[in-house]
Amino acid sequence: MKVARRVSYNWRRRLVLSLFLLIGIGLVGRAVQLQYAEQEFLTAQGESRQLRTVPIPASRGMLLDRHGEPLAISTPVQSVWAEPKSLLKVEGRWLELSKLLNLSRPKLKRLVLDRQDRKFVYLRRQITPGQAEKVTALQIPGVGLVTEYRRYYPAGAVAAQLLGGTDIDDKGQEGLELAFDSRLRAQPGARQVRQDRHGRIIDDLAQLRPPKHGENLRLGIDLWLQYHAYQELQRAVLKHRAQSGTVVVLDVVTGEVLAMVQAPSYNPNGDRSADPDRRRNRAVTDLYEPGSVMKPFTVLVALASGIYGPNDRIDTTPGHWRIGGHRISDIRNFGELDLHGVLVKSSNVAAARIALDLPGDTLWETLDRIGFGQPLRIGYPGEAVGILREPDQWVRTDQASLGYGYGLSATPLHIAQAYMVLGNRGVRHPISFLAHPQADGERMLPREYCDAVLRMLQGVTGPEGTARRVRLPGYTVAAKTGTVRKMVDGVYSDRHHVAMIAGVVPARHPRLAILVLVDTPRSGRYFGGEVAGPVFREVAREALRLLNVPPDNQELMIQASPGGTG
Amino acid sequence: MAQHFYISAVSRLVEPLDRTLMALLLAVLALSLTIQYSANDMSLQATQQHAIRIGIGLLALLAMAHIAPRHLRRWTPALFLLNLLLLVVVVFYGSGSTAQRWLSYGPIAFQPSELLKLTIPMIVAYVLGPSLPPLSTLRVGLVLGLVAFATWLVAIQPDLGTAFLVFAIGVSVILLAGISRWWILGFGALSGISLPFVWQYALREYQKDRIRIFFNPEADPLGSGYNVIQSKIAVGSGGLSGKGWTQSTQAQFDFLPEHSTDFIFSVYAEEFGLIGVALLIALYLAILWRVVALSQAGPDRFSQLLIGGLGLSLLMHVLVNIAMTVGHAPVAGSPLPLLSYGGSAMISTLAAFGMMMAARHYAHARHK
Repeated sequence: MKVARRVSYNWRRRLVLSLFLLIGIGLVGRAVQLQYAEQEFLTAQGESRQLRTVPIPASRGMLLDRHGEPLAISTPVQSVWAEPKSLLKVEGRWLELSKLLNLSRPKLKRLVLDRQDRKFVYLRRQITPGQAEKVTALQIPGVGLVTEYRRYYPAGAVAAQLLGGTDIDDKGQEGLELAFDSRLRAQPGARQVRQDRHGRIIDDLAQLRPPKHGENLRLGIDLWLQYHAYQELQRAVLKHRAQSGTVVVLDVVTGEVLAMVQAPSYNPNGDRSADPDRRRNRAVTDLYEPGSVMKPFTVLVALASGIYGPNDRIDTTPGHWRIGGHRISDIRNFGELDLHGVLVKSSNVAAARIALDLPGDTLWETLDRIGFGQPLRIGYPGEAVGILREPDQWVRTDQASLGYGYGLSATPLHIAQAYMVLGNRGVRHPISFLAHPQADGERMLPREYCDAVLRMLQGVTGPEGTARRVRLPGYTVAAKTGTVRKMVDGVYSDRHHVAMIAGVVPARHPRLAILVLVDTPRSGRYFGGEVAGPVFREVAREALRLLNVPPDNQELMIQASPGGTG
Repeated sequence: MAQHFYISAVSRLVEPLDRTLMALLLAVLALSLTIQYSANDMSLQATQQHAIRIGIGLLALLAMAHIAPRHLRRWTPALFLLNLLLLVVVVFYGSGSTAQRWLSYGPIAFQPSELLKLTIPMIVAYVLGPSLPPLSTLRVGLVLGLVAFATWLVAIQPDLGTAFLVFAIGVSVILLAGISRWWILGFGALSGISLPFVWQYALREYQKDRIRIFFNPEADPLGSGYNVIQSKIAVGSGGLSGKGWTQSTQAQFDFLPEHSTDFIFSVYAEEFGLIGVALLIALYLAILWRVVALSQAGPDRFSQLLIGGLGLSLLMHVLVNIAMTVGHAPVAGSPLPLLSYGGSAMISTLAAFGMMMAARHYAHARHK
């Protein structure tokens, strides 16, 4: 009996031990399975949890002025992001976070709850460096910072509409930012990193794609001139309580835009919700009837067609003329005028008579060649084309009113362009926002008649002219004023005007074409020479100084200098 | 003279130690220190802490090795009762993050449930040791009751993993002691019948979740199944020869939770690969083999049952823990003996080896 019991005890012990041994062997087998058979799969699983592709930020290209001064730059800023799952686990710390980011708790909660299945959600974009430091110091699980670029415009309001802006993702939205977006835009690179469970980067493994920074573009803009023009325009717009104002300065030889300003403006660095009226670049988006500033071209066509000679006289008596039910009038009876006198006195009656004497095709062709009714082809977003109807659609009154600048529409840049062609003695270079364009010019107007018209336009700034305020010591100025009645509710208004002046300096060796336009002055004064003239003078003076243009008018210099023979 | 005295004192001090078992233990402890350094982010301070615990454990081993089994037997009921008392205290005053498992006294904190790994084999050996099989129904009933009570005290902490182990150890030792086959059949039947009721009424939702997840870990890869998936990834990506010491990405980057305690095997497997795993399991099995040899040389049935029971207890912990890390057992908070970070388990495990060595040593001494 005793022996039997011993045996039974040993048998059970062996059973228990072999069972355990079997389990042990089974576990080794399992280890073989995991570490040998499934190794590749499990390693890949591990890697997929640890390896991440993260972007390498690249900065958008800068916009520079013609001297290399920055107009638009990208500065690195931090944005706060969160991994919703982790952040949800630490609800106790939300208060600190919402206080720091100025984000209400319900909003934070919605932000995180709505995107629970994502791994990345922005909490607050583009915070200050001080805030970023505090976010880091909080060390809240699942909250991190990411470097982004924010656009900054050092010139602020001075070039706001021209440059336009980008959205929060650094993509061009308006203005030159959009026009040149493909060249300015950066392509973030990518790198592979090893991350721990909390998303911290442990190891930089490889650069998959280098970041491609955007191209820096040098604009034709002269920042100082732009600034100066803005100051002068702003002053005039305020003084005359005008709705808005625009100044365009073009280099007649190269076609570069040297300045393009607008008032009132807005701060592109802070005010993202500014009034759309202030944001759009009126110089290229808004259409105006050019009015009297077109008269030089009527005179030019008259000369070029051979129908009129410089000394032919046009009778404007009695100062108004009825044609096809329309009454064309001058401010007073100028009597008989030669072509020079037509421009100096700005006679509507004479301009209309001349226009009617010209072949319609020739008039249309000239206006067409200097760009009216044509796209500007500058690639600027929202650019308006304007309307210049073809001669077969004209009636007599249409042709007559074209003579003094009504019945067609154009942007301020179109008008400036026409004067640019005139100033370059008929050769047109494409308008360029970039500095030092290489494009060849194309002859659009005959040189000798351009010279003749430029000579006549010098008289406009003479003592008898409508632009007598626009005299510059040392320089000759060829300019034409315009006071356009605005169309209000389909009728030309007596009270709403656009005051304009367009011209070329120096008149003898033109370098610059300048247009100043003041929309709806409400100070009681509205004549182009009176409202826009002083702005023209100051902008021209500064532009000539900045461009080191040598004086071409010794007489006036001597007259103006105190020690002169006067 | 003095020198001779010291030498003889030292030799007397280490005399009860079993050299083979000591060598195997020290080998595993060396691996333990190595892997803990890596699992604790190469922190020397944490490694030092671990070394100190190993030191205390070895002192406990030495101390226990000098206690003759008869003294041990005399103190068994009192020790067991003390352990039960501590478990009761834990229920009321314990601390812990998810469950009350710890008792704190000043800077020292320990888990009374760890002590059960020693006292359960002791009480079973105490009750069943004096009589030869077949064992009387009264004794088996008594010891089953005691084991069940201790299990219940652990289960309500709640610490289901340890409770299961405590119960399994108790039952295994009873089985080893040679009970009637009717007991075995009856007990098996009873367990089978009660299982659905335990599932329904005794288990809490998160405990049920763990068991569900065990069968289908991918069902909730970010929640309860997370540990097992990460652990399997760690073990699997170790491959044949491992990623190398301190190169475990799963642990170093914190993907693997509890990587210095419950999931230390995964870290070890990731860094030392299949070769390392085979070595470690071989070491554990060699320890078991040596324990079986010690058990057979025990001077009486109390010693034999005690050594066998302690050995089983140790091995069961090893197997359950490893099975858990490779996805073959539900996740339960149980450490890997000798390898995991943590004082209570380290000290009680080494103390158990001390008891085993004492049992054999005194048998040996008596035969001489």
